[in-house]
Amino acid sequence: MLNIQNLVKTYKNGHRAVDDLTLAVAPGDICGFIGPNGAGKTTTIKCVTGIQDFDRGHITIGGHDVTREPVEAKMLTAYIPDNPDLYDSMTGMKYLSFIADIYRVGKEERDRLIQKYADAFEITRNLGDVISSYSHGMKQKLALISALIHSPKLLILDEPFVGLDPKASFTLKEIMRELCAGGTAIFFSTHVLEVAEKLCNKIAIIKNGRLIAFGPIDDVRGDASLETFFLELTDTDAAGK
Amino acid sequence: MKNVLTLFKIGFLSAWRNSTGSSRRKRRAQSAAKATSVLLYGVLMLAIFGFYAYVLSELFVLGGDPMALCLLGAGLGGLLSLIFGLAKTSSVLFASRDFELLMALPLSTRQVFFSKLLIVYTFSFTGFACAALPFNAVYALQFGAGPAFYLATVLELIFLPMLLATVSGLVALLISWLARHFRSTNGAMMVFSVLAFAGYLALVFSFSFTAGNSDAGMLNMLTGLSSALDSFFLTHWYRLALLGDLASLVWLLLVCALPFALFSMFCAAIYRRVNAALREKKMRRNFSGEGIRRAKVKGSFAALFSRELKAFFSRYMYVLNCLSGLVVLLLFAGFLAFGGPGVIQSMAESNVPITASQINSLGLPIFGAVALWCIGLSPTTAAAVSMEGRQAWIVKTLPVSTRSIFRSKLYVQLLVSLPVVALSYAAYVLVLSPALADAVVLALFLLAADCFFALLGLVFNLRFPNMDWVNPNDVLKRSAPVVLTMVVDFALVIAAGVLYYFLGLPFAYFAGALAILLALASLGLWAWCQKGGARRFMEL
Repeated sequence: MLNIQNLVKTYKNGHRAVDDLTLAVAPGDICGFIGPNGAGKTTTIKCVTGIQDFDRGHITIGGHDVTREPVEAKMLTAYIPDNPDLYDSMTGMKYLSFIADIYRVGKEERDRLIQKYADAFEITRNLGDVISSYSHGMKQKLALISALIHSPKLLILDEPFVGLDPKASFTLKEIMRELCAGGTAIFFSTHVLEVAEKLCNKIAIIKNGRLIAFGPIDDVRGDASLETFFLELTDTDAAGK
Repeated sequence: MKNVLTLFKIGFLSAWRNSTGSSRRKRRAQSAAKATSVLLYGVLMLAIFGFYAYVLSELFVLGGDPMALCLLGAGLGGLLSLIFGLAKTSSVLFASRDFELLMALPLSTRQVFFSKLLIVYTFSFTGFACAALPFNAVYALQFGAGPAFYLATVLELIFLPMLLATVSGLVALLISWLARHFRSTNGAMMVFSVLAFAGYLALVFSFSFTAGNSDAGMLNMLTGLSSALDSFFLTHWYRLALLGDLASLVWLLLVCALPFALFSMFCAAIYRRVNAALREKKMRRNFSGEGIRRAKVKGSFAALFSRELKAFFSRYMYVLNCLSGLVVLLLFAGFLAFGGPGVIQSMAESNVPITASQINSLGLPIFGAVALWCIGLSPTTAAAVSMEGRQAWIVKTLPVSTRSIFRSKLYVQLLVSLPVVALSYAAYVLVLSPALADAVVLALFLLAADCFFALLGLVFNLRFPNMDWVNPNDVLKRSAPVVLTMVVDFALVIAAGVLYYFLGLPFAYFAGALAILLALASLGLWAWCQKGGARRFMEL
């Protein structure tokens, strides 16, 4: 579903944020993307979602090249940033309707999915309020619902558990498993290694813009816990330098 | 007092200190450039009013009442101050974004309120001084003045803005109070502010058109003005105070300071309550149960367009800024409709009555120039890209082409401006009945101008975006695209006027050629938007 090949992104100040990164996420995969702060996780995600251009490499989503067929690629994708800035002047319902209109979700389907996810995240009675009155967690929940109501084939989440209350985190994990069982590919960045360990079947570790480990989680970590493996790997890499 | 001054400093100067440069040196350079532009703007305003006062001074001598020059300066200053106040007072006193932050600090409500009132007073003072100071200076230079005149001038410059700030504050309070009763408080505040703005402008227009621009007309007006001003107690005291009458000066200062003090005390007492009420959550639709089934379904472009429309109408300053030119055009059309050919005659500065057959040879270029100037004054597109700000990630990740995004932004400008342009065009055609060819060319010219400025604003915004703004006014009022579009607008009106005058071509030929040029330029700009513009948008 998601193929990234030899991705290179250098910022104007000369900093190479992503360096020759290659990975693939198949339908039904939940791939955790982990790495220290400033490793290049968000930059990679922004390149995949079309927010940022990149210098070299290819990214395809469902076979559509994100630079040549951006609209077709985005039609299959849903993205939630780490700090969702939504349209403050809209009500929650208006925002969801706007997203559903753009993704051409039929009336019956959108009504059903908005009801389902708004109830799951316990935000139904707040949908009539303007987004500016929402707390950070409520904005995060609304962004999640907006990503789910068009049944994406690829779900990209940047630190999705930050700001969510324990119940909403649990609900999100359940929904991620349910989507994965339905064939949706999920690619998400996180600092919570326990979550990645329990939820993902694939893991990608990035440091200084380079992918230093990638594959099925059991193959990558071996007998060690993901936390131990991650700390050893990132420390070794630092010591090597 | 120290806290009040600190808050005032932060509130008043933050706009000029808000620089987004990547290095300290760049930020300093940006701040210096902003300070210089403000200084230059102030000097320019003083110079313009000074020149205007100098030209008028001869007429006032002919009218036999040179002191009326000072009264006119005070009147103009008062009007400027009220217009400044309308744009600023509501947002400073009753809709300030930092209200919750300030109320959470260990400061009294009075301290917060007085720091805000000081900002309102500063705006009132600036507006008033811009006109009153040069008029009084010209009077002193031309006719000579004693120490009493200078003393009265200084005291009046300090005290009269208090009265103006009180009026602005009361208007803002009324607007806020009325707006609170509507479901969309923000929208209601916008509508009332635009209406008040139109009211102020209508006052100036009616005054200007009834006076006429010819010497005889002006002289008549000035004679009438002198007697009218004397019959009003405030201006009567103002005149006497400038002439050295101490009692009048004291009365005038009391009349300015007392309402200001009463208003300050009253507002300080209700400041927290009014602001809290304005921020109260309105009862919205409850979507529990069957509610969700009421949501409407739109096409993807219609959704983009309504998002853009919502973004425009949800920002008070955005609407006020972009509608100012169109309100002027609408008022001009209104005066044309009700004043008939006399309005054109007064604008043409002619003493000789114009025959019906001649009226269009004057009216068409005047109307064309006014409409061109108003259309290009502040198109919505000049800030539309920057206004995406931190939410730009949403449209960038949506499955829509950049072409559709740009189209939705252009359509908002056209939706806002075309009805006003069409209405003013209809007023002109119905009142002055131009020849069919002239009427058709005028329509095409207006359409081409509207498209051109909508696209020009968009292109400038794509070339010089500011996505990291904190205060939206940085983008809406002081950003490079807005200023550049305005500069091109002024330059185009002047260049077209000069060319029309020197070439001496019939209006239909000249406006037709200009319409073709604007249409070609629009096509060029649209072609750039689709390639270079789309690339730039994705890089933002």
